[in-house]
Amino acid sequence: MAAIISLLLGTALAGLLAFLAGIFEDSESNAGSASNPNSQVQLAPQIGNRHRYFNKAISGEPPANALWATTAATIAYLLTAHFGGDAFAVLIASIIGAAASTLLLCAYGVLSHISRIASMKNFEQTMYWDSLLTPLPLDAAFGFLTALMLTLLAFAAHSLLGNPFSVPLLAFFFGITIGAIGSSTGDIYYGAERLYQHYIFGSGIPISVQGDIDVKGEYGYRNSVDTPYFTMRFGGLVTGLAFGMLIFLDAWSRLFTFAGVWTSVIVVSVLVLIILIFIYLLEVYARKRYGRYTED
Amino acid sequence: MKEISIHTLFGAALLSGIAGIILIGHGISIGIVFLWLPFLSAANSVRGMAKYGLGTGNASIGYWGAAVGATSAFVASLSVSCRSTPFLYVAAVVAISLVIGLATGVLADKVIRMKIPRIELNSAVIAVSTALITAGSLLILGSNYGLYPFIYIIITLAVLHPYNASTGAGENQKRTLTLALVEACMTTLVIGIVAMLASGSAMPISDDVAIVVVSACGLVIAVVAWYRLVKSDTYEIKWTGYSPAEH
Repeated sequence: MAAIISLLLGTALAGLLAFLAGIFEDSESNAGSASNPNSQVQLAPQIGNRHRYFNKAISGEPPANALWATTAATIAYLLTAHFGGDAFAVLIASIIGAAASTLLLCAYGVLSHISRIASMKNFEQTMYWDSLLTPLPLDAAFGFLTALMLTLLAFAAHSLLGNPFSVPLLAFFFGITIGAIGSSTGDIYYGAERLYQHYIFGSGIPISVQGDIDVKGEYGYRNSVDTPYFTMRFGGLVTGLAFGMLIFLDAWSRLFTFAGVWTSVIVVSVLVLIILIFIYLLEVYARKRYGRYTED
Repeated sequence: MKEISIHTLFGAALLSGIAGIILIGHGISIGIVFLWLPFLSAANSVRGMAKYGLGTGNASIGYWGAAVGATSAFVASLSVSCRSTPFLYVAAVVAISLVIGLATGVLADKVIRMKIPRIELNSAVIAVSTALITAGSLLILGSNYGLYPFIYIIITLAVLHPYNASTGAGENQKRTLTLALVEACMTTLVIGIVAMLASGSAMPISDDVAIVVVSACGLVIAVVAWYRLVKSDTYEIKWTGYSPAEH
């Protein structure tokens, strides 16, 4: 009975933590214009759009998030190995670990922004300290929350759900996965829509308009603090939904083992089938409603 | 300005890395400073490959190369006979990473046809350099398998980031390599802190404190040098303001 309660609790907790982690991760990458939108921000000065965005070019989202999550989880894992591992100790250790990895995030973010602007000399891009230092605490806060959620998720998966891998390795996998989801799901909303609001909604970014981003907002110049305020309403939540569903449904494979281990394989296969059918029907509906894809 | 060639930097990094691992293997933990040159050499080769218009692909080049290097070092450290003396260990690490690094480079060139000039050479350089760094970190952190993902990812970021951060028309080798030195010091600093937490294994804690102190000193010097280059390279540095053309 205790084992079943632990599994139920673990499944619910893992889904919740993953959902929150997705929201925070997407907001973190948008506050720093990381990942896909970064290419657009990087191109802007070259075609005369001198901007005041935070250019946090650390790397693609998957390796960067893997680093924050793994560092936080490794420190938490070593601390709990030293000082015991009850629930309260895990929480405190995860907070310490996430705080340490946030310092690393800030260091990399500052080095990236300054170096990128320095390489834009030919295009007369000025380096404004306030456009780096204003979004940095916001970015760090989202980064801290992402690392914390992923570390707690790794602990939950390891202890409550009985995953055989070590906590840092799980955090590494979660970091890579959430980065991939954040950059494919959430960033489209920022990189292709928010930065190109003066083009028709949903028109994509043809090569000819790349770099022609919006540098002005509702009041004066746009900065990177406005961006998560905007993307939190859709991009962040969708990222959270995608990652949360992934972790939540994956945990079902540990939950449904009532008639042997193969039950879980069948349950998850049926789930994958349902998702594929849903995606197919959605695509068919969208093409009927909005017409076929056009060629460039 | 004349650039440092890949061969020169790699030769220096190889000798320095071997010296570093032998020192660490004999219990002198501040030998980790000799691992800074392999960071520079790997970052320089990421630059060498990514310069040909890879764009967002330069991060991929970094973690591909670092994955080969880290895997080679992990494989070498699994064998007990390889770890018996530091000389044998470093020889095994260099040999395995050189062979796998060259092989992946040749495969990428001949089979996948990525058409990047000197991809075999650069892939071997990244593999051997990151293998040396990984092997040194493994000696410091002890053989706790739970730490492998951390060692791999923190080295990967330090190797791929300097060129990725400096990309742009005004990029130059001197500033990129200085940034690589900043990140090398930062990485060994974090490894030192994690080693303090993981102590109780191979090394007494005072050696880990020495790593942290040396890395922090190196970090301060490298940041000052890097910021001096940034100031001379940047168009204009201001506290706040708008673009002059529009106001």
